[in-house]
Amino acid sequence: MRGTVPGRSIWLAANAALMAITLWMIFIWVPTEANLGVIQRALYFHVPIAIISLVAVVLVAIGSVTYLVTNRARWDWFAHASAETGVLVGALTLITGSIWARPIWNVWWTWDAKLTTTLILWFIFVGYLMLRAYAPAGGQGARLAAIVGIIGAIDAPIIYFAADLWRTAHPGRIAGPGAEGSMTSEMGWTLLVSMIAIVSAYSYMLVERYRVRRAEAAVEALSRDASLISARGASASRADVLAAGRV
Amino acid sequence: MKIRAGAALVIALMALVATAAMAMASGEPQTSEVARAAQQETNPNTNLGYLFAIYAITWAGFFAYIFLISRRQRELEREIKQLRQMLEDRGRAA
Repeated sequence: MRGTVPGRSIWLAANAALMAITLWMIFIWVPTEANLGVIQRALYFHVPIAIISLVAVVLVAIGSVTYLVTNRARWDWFAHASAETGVLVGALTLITGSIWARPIWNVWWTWDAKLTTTLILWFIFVGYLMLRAYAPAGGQGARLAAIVGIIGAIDAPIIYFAADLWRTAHPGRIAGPGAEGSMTSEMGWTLLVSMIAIVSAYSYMLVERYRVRRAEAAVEALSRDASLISARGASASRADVLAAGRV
Repeated sequence: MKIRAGAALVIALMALVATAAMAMASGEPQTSEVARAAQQETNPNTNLGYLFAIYAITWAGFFAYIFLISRRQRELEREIKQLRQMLEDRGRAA
């Protein structure tokens, strides 16, 4: 486990460097958008984080389906790690979107289709984690959570196409299939670099959370072994005492 | 485990309350003073505070999470080491 520490440190340092480059591009290099002004620069964090929150729910679903098919614990750990990191990026999507909405729409929150479906997604993630915490340990809890994870994934395409499906105040997609955007090349490059930085940071957090989940499983297994040995030791001692005729 | 579940519940409840509060606030009729203040806030040159908040919160969120999982990882590694040592000692004693 210790052997992986230098690799993790290099990855973390690379993340920090990427973030520094992203901040330089966002605040110094990219020109200010004419209509929205400086607040438009929020896009370079808000959009990648929102995309990552959709990716997280898809990863939860992939982990959950594979766990149900193969019954291998590592897929359950992966789904669990994706859900927890999904709660973080989901919360950041809602918070950054809300702060951006205040100067542009003059409200902190509106029950717009895109915002509401994103909030629902966040509650699905939270519900998944609460189920993991309260459900019985072992396979049953993992299977129940996997079902919630799969059902939750239905919300991802709804969020993605919300601006097409309903009349929303939220702007349409600026990246991906069917996107409608009018960004300059500097804006496009800044968004791309920011996307890479945030994907890298998210991947780091996901891998670290997976390692924590794996270590938790190792502790559970070792604790079981230790208690089994203790129980055997106790019965052996009792047998010794009985054999000696003292009880 | 129970503490984590409780924390998740508290966060979910806080989010619900905050969402409801924001929805209610958005429905409030605006006085001319509030409207004027809002107009000033929508001036593109006066939104730096919001922009700063967005970046600060995102960074804080990422750093706090990485710090918490790194600490948990260290604790678990220590626990695994202790348990392995204990099992080895018992194995030798048996």
